[in-house]
Amino acid sequence: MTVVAKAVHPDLLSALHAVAARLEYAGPLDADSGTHYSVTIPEATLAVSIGSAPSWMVRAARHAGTRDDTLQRLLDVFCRTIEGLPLREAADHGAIHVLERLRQQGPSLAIHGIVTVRSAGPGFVTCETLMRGILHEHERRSGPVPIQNFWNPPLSEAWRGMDTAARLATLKPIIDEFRATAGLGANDLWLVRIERMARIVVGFGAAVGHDRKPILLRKLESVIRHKTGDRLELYMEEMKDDNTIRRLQPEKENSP
Amino acid sequence: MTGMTDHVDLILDGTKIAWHQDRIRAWERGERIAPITIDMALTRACNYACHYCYAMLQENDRKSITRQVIFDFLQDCADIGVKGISFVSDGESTISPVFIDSVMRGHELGLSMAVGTNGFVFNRRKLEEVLPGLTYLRVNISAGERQRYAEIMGVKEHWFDRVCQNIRDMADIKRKSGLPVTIGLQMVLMPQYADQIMPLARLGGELGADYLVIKHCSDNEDGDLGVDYGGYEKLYDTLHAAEALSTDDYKVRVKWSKIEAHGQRSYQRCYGAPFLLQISGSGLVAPCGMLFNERYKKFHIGNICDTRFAELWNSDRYWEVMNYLAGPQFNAQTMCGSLCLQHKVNEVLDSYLKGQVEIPEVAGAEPPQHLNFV
Repeated sequence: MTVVAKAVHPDLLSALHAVAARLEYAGPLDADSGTHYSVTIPEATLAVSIGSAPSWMVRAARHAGTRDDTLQRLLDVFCRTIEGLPLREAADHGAIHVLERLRQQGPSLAIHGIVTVRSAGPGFVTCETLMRGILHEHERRSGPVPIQNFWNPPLSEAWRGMDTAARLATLKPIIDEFRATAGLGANDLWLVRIERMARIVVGFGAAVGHDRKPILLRKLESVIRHKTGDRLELYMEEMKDDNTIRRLQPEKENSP
Repeated sequence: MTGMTDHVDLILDGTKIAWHQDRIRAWERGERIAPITIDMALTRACNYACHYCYAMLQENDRKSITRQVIFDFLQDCADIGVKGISFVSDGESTISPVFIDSVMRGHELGLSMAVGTNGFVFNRRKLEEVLPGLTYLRVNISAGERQRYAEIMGVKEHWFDRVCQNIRDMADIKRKSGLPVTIGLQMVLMPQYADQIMPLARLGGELGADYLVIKHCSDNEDGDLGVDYGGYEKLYDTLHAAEALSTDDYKVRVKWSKIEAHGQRSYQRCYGAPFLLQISGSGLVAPCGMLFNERYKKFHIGNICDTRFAELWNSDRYWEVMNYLAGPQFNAQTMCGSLCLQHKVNEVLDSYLKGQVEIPEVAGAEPPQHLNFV
């Protein structure tokens, strides 16, 4: 067994302890009808139960073989995160999802540029290595899994089951609360409409400066996603082309 | 196919990111890297009305890029380590009164400078002035015949003659002065312009251009331009015939990798923007031209007309936006238009981070042309 020093960036440690207060995914897999795979590397072992084609969903995941407390906790979060994901998505982005989950706990990360699993600590790379080993083992036994990955987190049954009025009613108190927290009035930020079920269009009043809008939009989107549990997207109204020559073209005026 | 080694001389369908390994390593370490290339415009305005124009979808809060603004910007770029600036983006930069001065100023600062233009407002004197400062000049010309040129590009027929003369002059000045500048032509191909592929491929050679590149048309995530990506497949024979017109001095190249992608992306995260940044002709700094419209305000970082670029680049808001694009909250397959400028860089970096490819070692290899335009 290899002890992994600094498995995660020090700034993520408190978030990791909060998310994985106790280990729930350590040990062997329970018996189920999935196909079981196990990969061991010097740092740890990952065992995964895979469902059937075409998604090859991860039905269960367990880790073992490491006594490094930080890596154990990280693997625990990793196992929890990849359950329910297609095998390809778990291998491609499982570690990114874990990193995102930890960052949502609010730690300020002293990484000044892009945060990747490679800059966030070697433990994330260990998770990736293990999961990609599982994918390779599955491909060796069952044939290639398509490299194209079009997985997107599905909207919840609850959100899909609502009509537009119910969705607007769900969003209204969230936006009201956000406005109050951000010190905005009713004429500063409002909900315009919902497009294609997941795109929320909002408007800003003239009192809200240009510089402030992007930050408010990203914060509000994060709050909406957190409160609804759905990956809804936030937009403003489209601005129409202001180029005189292009605007004179009649067919452009009629475009959607 | 990552497009990293498609052509060893002039890469027109691929990316040169592998030749910038120092920046890739710094990016991986979480350092704030300067863009290798910035694609921008000096204005949102344009004297043309091309039917395929993506700039119609990019409107945002307009500000004027003055001489002081662009000179400060170029100085900042040189200071932080940007290597190439292309004046393409979402406006016709040649109609800006500061166009020639901007090119020459960037050139003096050691930046590689390039321009994409409709080629109309040039004359021989202006070309003689600006060509020595350019790595490449690419003329957008999506037809090889007068009448179709007027229809497709939304201008009068006789404008075609003037642009053709300007291209002849570019080639002549380059030859007589022995300039290293590359004179290129670009056809933005919609399937309904198929009749113009061969006339334009022949015309490019006659005018003395170094190359003609034929590329797909980008569309936004809702398909507002109505690009029929399924329609390209029927044109493959014609496109191959056009490529066969290449000679030692004139290349006809099709951006096959994008045309064959049918408008789809293989990746969900956008890692390319920190390497290849775009700035609107309004001065807006946003990671990507597809996110210029006010609708995508959440991705807007700032404006070089209000704030020095070096300050914007070194700000938390710049890196918050870049991290949003690189994280699982973002999905380029559903939240972006098709086949953006950063597409090839994204493909390589995404495959690399997924462990599917290694960035090839290029030390000792002959670098391709236009290395600073990634």
